[in-house]
Amino acid sequence: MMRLKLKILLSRKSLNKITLFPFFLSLLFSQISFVNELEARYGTSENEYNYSEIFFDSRLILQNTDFMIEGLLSIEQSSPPEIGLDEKGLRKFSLTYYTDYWSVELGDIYQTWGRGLILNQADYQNLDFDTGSRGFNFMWNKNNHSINFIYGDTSISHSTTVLGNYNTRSPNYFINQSIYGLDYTRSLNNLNYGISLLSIENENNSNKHLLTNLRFEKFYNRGEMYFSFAHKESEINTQKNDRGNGFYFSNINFSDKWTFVTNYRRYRFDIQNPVNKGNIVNNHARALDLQQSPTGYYQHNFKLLSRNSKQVNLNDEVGIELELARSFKNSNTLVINYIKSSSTTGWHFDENSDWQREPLTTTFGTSNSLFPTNDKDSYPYDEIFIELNGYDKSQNIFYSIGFDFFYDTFAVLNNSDTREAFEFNKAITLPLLVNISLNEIWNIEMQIEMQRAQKGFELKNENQSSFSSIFNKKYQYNNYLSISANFKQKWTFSLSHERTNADESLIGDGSDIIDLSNSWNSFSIGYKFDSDDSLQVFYGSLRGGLDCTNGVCRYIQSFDDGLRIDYTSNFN
Amino acid sequence: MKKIIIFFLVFQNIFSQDNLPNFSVKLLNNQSSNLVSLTNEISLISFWATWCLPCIKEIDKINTFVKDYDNLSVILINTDKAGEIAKVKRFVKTKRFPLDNNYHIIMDYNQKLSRSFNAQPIPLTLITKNNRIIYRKRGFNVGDEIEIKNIIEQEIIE
Repeated sequence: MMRLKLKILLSRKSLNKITLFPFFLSLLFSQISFVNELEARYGTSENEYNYSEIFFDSRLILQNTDFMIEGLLSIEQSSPPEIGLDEKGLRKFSLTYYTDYWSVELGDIYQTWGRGLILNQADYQNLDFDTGSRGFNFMWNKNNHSINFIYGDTSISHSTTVLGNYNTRSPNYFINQSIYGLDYTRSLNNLNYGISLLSIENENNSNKHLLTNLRFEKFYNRGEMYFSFAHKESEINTQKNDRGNGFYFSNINFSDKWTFVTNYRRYRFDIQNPVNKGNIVNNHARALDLQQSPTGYYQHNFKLLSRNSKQVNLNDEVGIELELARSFKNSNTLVINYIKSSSTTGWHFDENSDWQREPLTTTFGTSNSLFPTNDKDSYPYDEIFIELNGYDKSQNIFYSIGFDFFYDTFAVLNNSDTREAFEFNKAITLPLLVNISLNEIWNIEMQIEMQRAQKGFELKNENQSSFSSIFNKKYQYNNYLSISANFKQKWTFSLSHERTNADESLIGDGSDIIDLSNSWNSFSIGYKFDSDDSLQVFYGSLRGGLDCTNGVCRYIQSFDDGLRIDYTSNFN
Repeated sequence: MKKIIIFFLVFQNIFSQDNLPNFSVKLLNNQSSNLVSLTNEISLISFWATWCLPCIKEIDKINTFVKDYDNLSVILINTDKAGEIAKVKRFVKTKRFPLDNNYHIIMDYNQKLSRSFNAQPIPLTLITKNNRIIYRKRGFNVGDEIEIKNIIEQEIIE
């Protein structure tokens, strides 16, 4: 009895403390804000793409005239998640103290230094790609001098076919790293320059990497230019045995109507022969996941185009990107984008069938080490994308129409004096999107995409060339159509249809299967209760393929005949 | 666990307002600033990226009316990868965004603001009055700009 009384008393005391604490805080801080977001997602399908996940994110900010404290808390309850490993409990947290000139952050830290050539930490939940560090960050910024110090541990995961138990949805390779680094940036009116140092130690195998970066940015009347150079020294198995570097240049020029962008990159962090190129487990000196350097990659808005993305090789690639854009009346814009890249070296079989490096050549046949080439043994990639978008005079019709040519040699299988074999992907795509505001109540959007693709092997045997498709047809034709209608900004009804005459699909164990033809249909209804709460119900199938965010890509398996329910709510 | 839940409930009931945090930010024109110093009595804040079509449609629509209001500030927070800054500048120039003292573009390289506002997936649109968030909306359908415009007008009249 006595115990029970004591327990009640204690709990009352604790409750009083809890209730008084916020009042005490309100006396200390002039502004207090508290925001929460809840997201619940559920999916079930015939091919067992089942998931159930709940995310709860909470943000607390305490502000005073001289300083500010921010607390972030992210809780996940997923079993299984749509992508990644099961998570039950705290996912992310951080606590930051800010003053006018400096800040200290504890918890999960994300930093980008030197446009990503040395450090670019990101958290893309849709791809299960997270390169954040749990640790400590100090920033100081005054009189155009900025100093940034980071210390922490990262845990990065991948799904790779190099190891057993490959699964498209959950990772089978884990990298734990301890990192610390310092970044200094000086900002002047028309000039920025900076230097960074970053040390990374792998906890799995004690390999060490030291990265240095030097960068320079110049602004002028009608444009600007940017240079960045990174050097990486890797100590593998306690021996200093690998060095790599990366160079990135970007220039932009404006005129009244035209804008011209030039990007150039040359990465030589880890040059591997065609057999070892994709081995992320044993290539210890490869570009680090933390780097995510600027890529020669165009992030498309269209469905078929984004699925046909180039997987950029940050270890060994030289590339250029040219973009010309012009504006017209009614926000009409024309964009012409051209990207070309290849590896920095070619590969050739010697008499023992061992891979040997071969210098790149120019179109005139001379040796070249600075520009991308068309040499088949150097993974050449070309893409031209032309897009025209804008509005009609009444501003009620938005349109976007494009043309895309894509060519990517992604595997060098054989290259001897007598035989050649390269695997490539070539596609022409015509996308169109039209959005019509019929009145203040109805808004209709239609998207049509047509693609002709050629995927297979280019073979050469004693001066005889041939093409062997991975399908039993020469061309793969992909068509995508979606129509959605929005009613009173509350209801959204969507229908989508996609079909192909030949499909390659990855299944769970990593083996390839070939479907002769297939189609995917879906229907969804969305309802917005108010600006903070929305519900979406989806039924049908979604085609699998690449899903990319900011140049980071991952293969997503198809979702066959199933139901998805998403609910999002913000509350404070 | 019980204590934590009670703490959250008490806390939320007492502090239901949502003030804009005063982060230091980097603008597209390379200037450093503070988020609150960019705001006006009424501010429209939108998280966007060059590859996000709904974001682009939203910005195109709000650009048609934002200059009608003198005391409205527009703050577009860009979430493109740091390596894409040239593309962002090309985009802003070609689309003729009306950059001035009341129209700003913030480059959120470190995802600091994105994480603080839980901005993914984009677009996320906020309207603030005297730095207090009064409206929050995720996603964009053509026609949503009418609601945004109505809220701005209503708050300006008040």
